[in-house]
Amino acid sequence: MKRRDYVSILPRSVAFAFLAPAVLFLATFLIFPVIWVLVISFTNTALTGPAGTSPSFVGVSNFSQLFNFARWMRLGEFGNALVNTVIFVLGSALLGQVPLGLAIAMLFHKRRGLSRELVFSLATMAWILPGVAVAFAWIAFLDKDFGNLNAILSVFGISKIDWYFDFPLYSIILFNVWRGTAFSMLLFSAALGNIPPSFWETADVIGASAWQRFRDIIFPLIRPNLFTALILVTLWTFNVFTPYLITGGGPLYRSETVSMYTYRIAFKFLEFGRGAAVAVIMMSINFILATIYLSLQRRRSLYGR
Amino acid sequence: MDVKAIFYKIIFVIFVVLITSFFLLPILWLVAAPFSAQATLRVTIPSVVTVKNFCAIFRNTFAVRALFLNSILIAGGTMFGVTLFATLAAYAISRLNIRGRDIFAYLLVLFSSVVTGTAAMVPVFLLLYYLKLIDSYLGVIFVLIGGLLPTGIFLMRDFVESLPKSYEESALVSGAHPWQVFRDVAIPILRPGMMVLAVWAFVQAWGDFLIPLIVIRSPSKMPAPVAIYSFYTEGGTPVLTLISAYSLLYAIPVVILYLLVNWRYGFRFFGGIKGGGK
Amino acid sequence: MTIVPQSFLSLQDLTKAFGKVIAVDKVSLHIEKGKFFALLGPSGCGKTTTLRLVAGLEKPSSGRIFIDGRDVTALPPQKRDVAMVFQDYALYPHMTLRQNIGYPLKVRGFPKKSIATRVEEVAEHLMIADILDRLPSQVSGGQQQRAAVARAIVHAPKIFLFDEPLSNLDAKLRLEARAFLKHLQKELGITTVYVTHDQAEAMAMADEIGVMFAGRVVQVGSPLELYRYPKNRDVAAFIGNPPMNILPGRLEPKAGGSQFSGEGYTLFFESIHVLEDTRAYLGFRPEQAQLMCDLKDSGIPAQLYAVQPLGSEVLITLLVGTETVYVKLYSESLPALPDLVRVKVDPSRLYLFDSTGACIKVPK
Repeated sequence: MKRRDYVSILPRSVAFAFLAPAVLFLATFLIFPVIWVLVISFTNTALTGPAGTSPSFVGVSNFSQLFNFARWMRLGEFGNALVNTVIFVLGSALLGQVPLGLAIAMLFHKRRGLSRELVFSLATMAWILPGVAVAFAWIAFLDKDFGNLNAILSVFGISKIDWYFDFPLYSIILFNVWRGTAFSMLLFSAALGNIPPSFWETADVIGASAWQRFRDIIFPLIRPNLFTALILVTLWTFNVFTPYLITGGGPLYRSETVSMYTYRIAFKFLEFGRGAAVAVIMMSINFILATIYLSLQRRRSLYGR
Repeated sequence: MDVKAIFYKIIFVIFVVLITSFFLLPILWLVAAPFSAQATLRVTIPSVVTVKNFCAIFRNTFAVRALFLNSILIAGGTMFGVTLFATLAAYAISRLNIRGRDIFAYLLVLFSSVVTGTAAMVPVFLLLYYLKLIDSYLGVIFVLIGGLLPTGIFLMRDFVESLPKSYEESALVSGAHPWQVFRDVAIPILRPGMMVLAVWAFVQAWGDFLIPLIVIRSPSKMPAPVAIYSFYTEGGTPVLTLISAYSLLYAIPVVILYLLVNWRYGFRFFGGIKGGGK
Repeated sequence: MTIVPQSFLSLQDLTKAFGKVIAVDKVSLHIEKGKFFALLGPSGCGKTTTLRLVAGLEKPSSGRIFIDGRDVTALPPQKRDVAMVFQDYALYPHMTLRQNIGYPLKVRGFPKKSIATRVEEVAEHLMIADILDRLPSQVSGGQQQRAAVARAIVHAPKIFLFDEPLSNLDAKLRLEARAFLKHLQKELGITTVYVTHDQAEAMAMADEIGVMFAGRVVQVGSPLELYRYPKNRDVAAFIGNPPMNILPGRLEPKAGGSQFSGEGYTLFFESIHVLEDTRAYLGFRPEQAQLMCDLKDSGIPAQLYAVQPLGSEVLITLLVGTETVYVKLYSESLPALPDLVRVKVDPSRLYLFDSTGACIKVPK
């Protein structure tokens, strides 16, 4: 038999060699942990104490502990973290980042110059600067006595607000809107840029108002991007940990999200079994969101591109 | 200009001012406080601009080591690994007609978005624990590479697919051997994509806080984002002069890289994963 | 046992399937040394795949390829000693034109000095010597095209392969490039396979044309042969500018011949004999028809649709029933035409195609 692979740009063996390191890493640090965490979630694995040396299977007790409906809504319990997370995601992702990002993108579409550069650069900076650095800046920004936010509000005659104690969840929602709007902004900006100028012009020529133009022409064209933004931003916001650096989940777990809860259970209390159970629930939610996103993408790719 | 146009102009200006303030005000502290001798949480233009805080940091060997050795090692190592492995893999996926390569990409995205953040930390920590990689640079780098690779491969695949195969095919017909094609044609045309990928991976690893927090134990190996939490007095109050100056130093590489990418390629999204949906 | 063919380039029963789709279906071609051969067909007909099979960029599902008496079917592209000019030119963006053109020599291990001399020589010949140190992105489309050709001829390959090399040029440059490529090919005498979907390009440049439809080579012949004696309706409707007019109708046996009845007209053919009433198609070339304004004249009744003066000639679009018919008149002035006219064609200039599309009558 003759060599059958000569038409490839890459010989098959070389291509597999190219793939090998990536596959190895993905298998070890991505796929294996997923399977393992499932196993751990049914054990009482811990790093210290008697369970540290010989973890044993505990069935679904980790899960039933999380969903102990008699007490799960108490501060510091899983239900509380779950409710906080839902509010956090709704507020910062769905009502915050996506609409704000769309508004900025719409406003600066077809506008070039300093104001655009300024807004885009600042928003992007907020997105990419290291979390720890911006967290300290936000602690200062939200400070009751010295913070910029209260300083500005006082100009409008609003008296000092103790953001950390009175509105911890709203504080991290505001922070996350600030932190993540850039993604939606850049996404919609690219999407609007892909709409041929003639579409806008046609609407002008036939005399559509700005609102009609948005509703009848622009919105249907960017609807796929809107779904993309909504789902990805939801997914990321659901998992985000940076707000922990601002409130630490406090005071008294009032701003604790599920990802902070996992961290506390697993790495503060070192109860890996229960931490794994939360991780399994998080991953299941991630899985659902990612599947919705990907199936939307695939379905879209069926209708031409 | 009629009244309506003026009205819209005013609305526009107000919106721009509001948006700019929203994005600017929270980080003003980061720029002002480091230069003030008695940094507080208040943002004031320091009456006397001082670099004393920076001097204090540079005298602190622990802080210097964290920023200029540990952070650079971790971010650099991750950048190297992600760029190399993602480029090789993306190139192979794109140029070899493996059956089901789209499924591969599909699963890649699925897994990477499922295994993320704190959800992945529990098993990853235990994995490192058994691999004896806790408290090692390598442990942090490996986990970061594993976490960044899927997106890296995905970004790079988009880039490779945008390059016509005729470059390599033309070299093959010209008489080049596959390895010559790879060296003379493929690597040079992949280079711009690799640059962007490298910058992206560096920024991601540089800013990551959670993984080194969990993995690194000994102070001498802590990268900047973890080390910064040692600038507290014994009473537990943060030393804001040092923290602000250190935060600024720590943020600067990201700003520089952003400006570099923005100037060279324009910081924006292309079709690909985000918009078009392949 | 294989019989080594006499022709310089031979494809024997070449087949290429991508999954269930058969892109190239038992194609056999024999091309003489030094000939300019064009593969012509609509997009998706398999012509580019055929070319890539010759280059070695695709692996045939079955069949053989011979170049200069040698079976190259199993050889990788770099060992076939062919050169290919791609549709997008594929000039390496990071190399100057000089490096691009010299690359085939470099990978063959030629010494630097002789590469330099040879590149200069070729560039001089193609009139791009003064821009050799620019990057592809810094030169015009026409210059890129010349550089791509230069890179193809630099190592004097046995065969040239062109994949629609002119489709990225604008109309004026395309005309220039046609002449340039044809001249160059004749001068160098290198056997050439040229893929195009543009029949005018194929007619103008090739010594011989192979027309492909749906993976099969339907007809091979000189440009004039294809123009005069199309084997079937597809070829007839593809060649010519505008292509042949084809009108559906019925053919029935009559004493001493057959009668074709179309939309409002009948025509009698003496030499054609059919056994029974059957579907058929009438064909005639736009440039061989005349228009009669007098409705009492015999001919095909047609309705005037549009008149396009093109300078030396006038192109007239007509409707016969629902079919569009073109007539080309060699006249500089616009004729005054009524809304209803008659199209008249010398009976000896008429074509007939049977129900399968095969040509059953050609002009004498």
